Amino acid sequence: MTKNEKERVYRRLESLQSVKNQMAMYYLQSKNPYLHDEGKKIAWVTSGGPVEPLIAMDIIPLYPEQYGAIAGAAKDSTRLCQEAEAHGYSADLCAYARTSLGSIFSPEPPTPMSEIDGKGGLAKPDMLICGNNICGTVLKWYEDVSRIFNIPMFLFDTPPLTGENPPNYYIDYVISQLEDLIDFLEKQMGKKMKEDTLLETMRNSMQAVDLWTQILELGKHKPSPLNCADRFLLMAPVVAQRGAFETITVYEEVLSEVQHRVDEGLGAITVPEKYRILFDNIPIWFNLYEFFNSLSSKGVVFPVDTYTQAWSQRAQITESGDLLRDASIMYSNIYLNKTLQHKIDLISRLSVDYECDGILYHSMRSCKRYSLGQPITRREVTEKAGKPGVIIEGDMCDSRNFSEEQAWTRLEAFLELIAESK
Amino acid sequence: MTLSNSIKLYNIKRAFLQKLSSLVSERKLEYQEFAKLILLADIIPIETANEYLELKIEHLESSISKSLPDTPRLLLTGGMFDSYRLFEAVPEFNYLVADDLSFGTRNFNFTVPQSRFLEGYAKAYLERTPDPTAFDMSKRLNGIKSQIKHHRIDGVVLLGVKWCDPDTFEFVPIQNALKDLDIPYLNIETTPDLSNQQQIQTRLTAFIEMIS
Ligand code: SF4
Repeated sequence: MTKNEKERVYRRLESLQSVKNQMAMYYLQSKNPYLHDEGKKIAWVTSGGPVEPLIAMDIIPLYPEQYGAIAGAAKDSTRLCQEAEAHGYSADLCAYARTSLGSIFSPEPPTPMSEIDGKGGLAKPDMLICGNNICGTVLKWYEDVSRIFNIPMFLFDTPPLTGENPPNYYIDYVISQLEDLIDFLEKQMGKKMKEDTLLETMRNSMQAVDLWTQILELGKHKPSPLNCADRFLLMAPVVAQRGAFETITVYEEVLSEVQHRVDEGLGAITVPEKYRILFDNIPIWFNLYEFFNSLSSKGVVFPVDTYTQAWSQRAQITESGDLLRDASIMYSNIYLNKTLQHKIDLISRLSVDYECDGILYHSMRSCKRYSLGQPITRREVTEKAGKPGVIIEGDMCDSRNFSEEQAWTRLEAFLELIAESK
Repeated sequence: MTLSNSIKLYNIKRAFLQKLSSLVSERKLEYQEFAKLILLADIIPIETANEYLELKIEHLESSISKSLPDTPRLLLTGGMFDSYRLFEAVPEFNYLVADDLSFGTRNFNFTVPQSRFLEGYAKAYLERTPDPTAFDMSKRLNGIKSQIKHHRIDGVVLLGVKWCDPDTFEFVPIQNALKDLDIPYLNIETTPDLSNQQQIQTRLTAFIEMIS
C-alpha cells in the first residue's frame, strides 16, 4: 500500500469553508484588544466543561485541547511538547496539555488563525473552567495554568458515572456544582446571570447539538457522505461555539450539503467504498490528511467515530424551569465519564448501526483515559457485535509516539482479514 | 467489629507509624525497614499489626542507636508509588529521613475522630495532606515545606510513576517551590516493575555526593 497517495480521493465539502469562517471570527474576537472595555472576558475551558453559562455571561470560551488539534494539524505540536518538557513536564503527559503549556512558554507559538492574526497562541485567559468529566489530567493541567497566569480556576466536578442514569443524589451534587459555577462567573464578571439569556443559550446549544447529531447520523447511508477527517474538522463549532446562534446557521448549511450528497448517492470518497470502519479515539492530528487520504484511496471510509459522537449528547430543555437539572445530566453523561461497559456497548451499537466491517482503535500513548481498556473493548466488541478490530499505536499531538510503518503493517493485515471474511 | 472499634484500632496503628517515622527522622530506624513495616502493617490483621508495631517501638527505643548515615538528610515525595522493594534494592534510600508518599506518611499522619463517625471519617480524609489526584495542591506544598523544616531536610527526591499524569504534573510546582527554598532536588521517574532501577541508584548516588 502506498503510504502517501498523491491522488486526491476526497470530495470537497463546500460548507467547510463556512465552518472555517465562523471559527476565524471566533478566534479574531478573542484577540480583540478592547475586549475587556466591552465587558467581555476570556476563559480557557476543558472540552467537557459547561460552555453555555459562559456564553450567556459574555465570556469567550477558548479550548486548549482544540488549540492542540490546530497546532497538531499545523505539524507544530511536537515542538511545543518539547518546549513543555524543557520546563520540567514529563514526556509521558497528555500531549494536548504539553502542546498548550509549550505554547505558553514558547516565544513563537502557532496561532489558531495565522492568516488573519499575527500574534501567537490562544488569547491569554482571565479565568479557567475545568470539567473533570473527561479525565483527571485536566485538573492538574489547569491547576498549573492557574499558577502560571495567576488567575482563578473553577473546578466543575462530575464524579464518574457507574450506571446509565445518574441517581438523584448524584444529580443534586452536579446541580450544586453548576450553581457554584454561576456564582463564580458572576463574581468574575461583576454582574448577575440572566436566566432567560441562559435559557436561550441552552436552546441554541441544543439546536446545534441536534443538527450535529443529524449530520453524524447521515453517515449510516451507503456510500457514507462524510469521512473521519470531515467530521474532525466540522466539529470545531459544536465544541467551542455551542450556544452561539452562528453555529446553528453554519450547521444548517452543512446538513443541507451532506443531505444533498445522500440524495445524490455521493460518498465522501470518490472511489468505491470497500471497507466501512469505525474509528475510536482522537485522531493523529499531525498526520490527519496523509492517514485518511491514503486509506481512502484503498476504498476505506470511516462513516462513524467515537470522538465526534461525544458532542451529540442532548439535554431535554424543559419549560418547567429545571434547566440546571437537565444540564447536570447532560454534563455527567459524557462518554469518558462512564464505564468501560458503556464504551463496549456504544461501539458495538454504532458499528452495527453504521454497518461497519471493523473497528480501528487508535491507542494514544499520551491519553490514558481514552486508550485504557482498548484491548478488552476490542475483544468484547468482536464477541458482542461480531466486528473485528485492530489497535494501532500513535498520539494526537506528539509525532515521536507514532510509527507510520508499524501502523500501516497492522492496517494492511487488518484489511486483508476483512477482505477474506467478506 | 464495630465501626467505632475499627476506627480506634486504625488510629492506634496510625499513631504507631507516626512514632516509627519520628524514629526514622532521629536515625534510629532505617527507612528501608520502615517501608517494610508500613507494608506489613497493611497486610496482617490490624490487632496483630498494632501489637507488632508497639513491640518494635519498645525495642527501638530501648536499644542503642544504629550507626546510620548522618547527612545528607533526604525527603522522598511522590504519589501512589508502591514498589517498596526499590528501597531494599537501593541502599542509598537509607539517607531518607521522611517521606511524603500516598502509601507512606500521607496515609498515617492524621487521626479519625471517634465521635462523629462517618462525618468525622470524611473530614479526616478531606483534611489530610492530599494525594496528587486531588484538587488544590497548595496543602501538599505546605506539607512538604513543613516537613523540610521539621526534619531539617538537605535534599528532596521526587519519585514519579511513569504515565501517571497527576503524579508527574505535580513535579513542576514542587520543583519551583524547592527552587524558591533553595533546596536541591532530584527527579526520578520509574515504572511499577522498576525497569530503571540501576539508573535510579546511579543518579541517587550522584545526587547524594553532590549535596554532601
Ligand atoms: S482526555 Fe486525554 S487527551 Fe483529553 S485532556 Fe484528558 S488526557 Fe488529555
